[in-house]
Amino acid sequence: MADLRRKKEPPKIDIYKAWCKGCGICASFCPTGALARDEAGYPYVKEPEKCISCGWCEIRCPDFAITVKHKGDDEKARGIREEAIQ
Amino acid sequence: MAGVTELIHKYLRHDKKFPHVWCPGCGIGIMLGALIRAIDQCGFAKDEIVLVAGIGCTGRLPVYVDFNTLHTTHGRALTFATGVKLANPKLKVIVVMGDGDAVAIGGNHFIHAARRNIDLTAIILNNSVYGMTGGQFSPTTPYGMRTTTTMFSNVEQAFKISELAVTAGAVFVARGSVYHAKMLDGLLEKAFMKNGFSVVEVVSHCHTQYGRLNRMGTAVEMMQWQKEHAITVEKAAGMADEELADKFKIGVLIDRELPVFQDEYDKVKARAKGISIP
Repeated sequence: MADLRRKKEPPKIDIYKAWCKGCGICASFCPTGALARDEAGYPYVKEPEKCISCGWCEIRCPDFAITVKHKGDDEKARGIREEAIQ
Repeated sequence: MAGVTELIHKYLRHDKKFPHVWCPGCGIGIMLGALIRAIDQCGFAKDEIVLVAGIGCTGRLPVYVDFNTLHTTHGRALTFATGVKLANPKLKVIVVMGDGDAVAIGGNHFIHAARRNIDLTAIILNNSVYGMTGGQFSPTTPYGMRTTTTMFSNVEQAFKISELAVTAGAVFVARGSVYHAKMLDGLLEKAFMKNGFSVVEVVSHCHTQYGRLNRMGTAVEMMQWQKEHAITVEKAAGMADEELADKFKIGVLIDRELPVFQDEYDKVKARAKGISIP
């Protein structure tokens, strides 16, 4: 019997290479191991399907060089949130 | 949880040189993120905020953010901030200092600003060393640790900034660490909303100067150290002193009400003019 559960789309992780200094905080404290470091110490997305979009890498990045976006967080959802803040 | 970085980018001055000057993995970057998130959460407008900083690594912080900013002389950030607040009490004045700035050169200003209870928020980033000037020991360097000027271990005891602020009369004192960045957001928010002198001590790391000489490893390892040695105020309440010897408490240490300087000063002005106060 085929697996009827729909596979969740993994969150989109963007690493802005120009700002990243390769400190390794995002990869080292990633709770699921979705991020890893290459030989030079810079992070890359090793296993995107493991990401649970907890956002700790975004919160702890000292250089504001990583973003995590999941499907529900599209333009519309952001607009609503910004309105709520104002 | 997503959208955190986008929010931060809204408050940065993109015409300044990025990536910023701090070392890879420096806690000041994490603290800056928490500061921006807390300001955004409180709903302050960019023009309402005045960010004052002194000299040192943290002194570089106001350059990158799009608020009213003031970069002042070493240790005198609080005095400039006092002037700004009294000249225009509508502004929300936030002072960002390092440990050397706040309790060494500006030590007297710090305790007297707390005693006076003027409505400011002081954020003190404690990395236990003078990072920018070459790793000399500061008043918060723990006993027995090596720095470039105490190569054969530090013989002095360290200041406990938060406890000092409590004793000096600050109305709100909290301690956080850059490892517990999400908690730091909440502490900063509470400090901003408090009327009176509020202090938030942020335990950070200087892996370039302090960590290297004391073999504490990289930024990641020093953040791991913070994770292992931090203990919440609630948890620490039921523990013996021996257990707490190598730990530091995080959370709100004191939250009290005392007369605020600005309100009292307004009353004095009214009295001098002969207006009766209800």
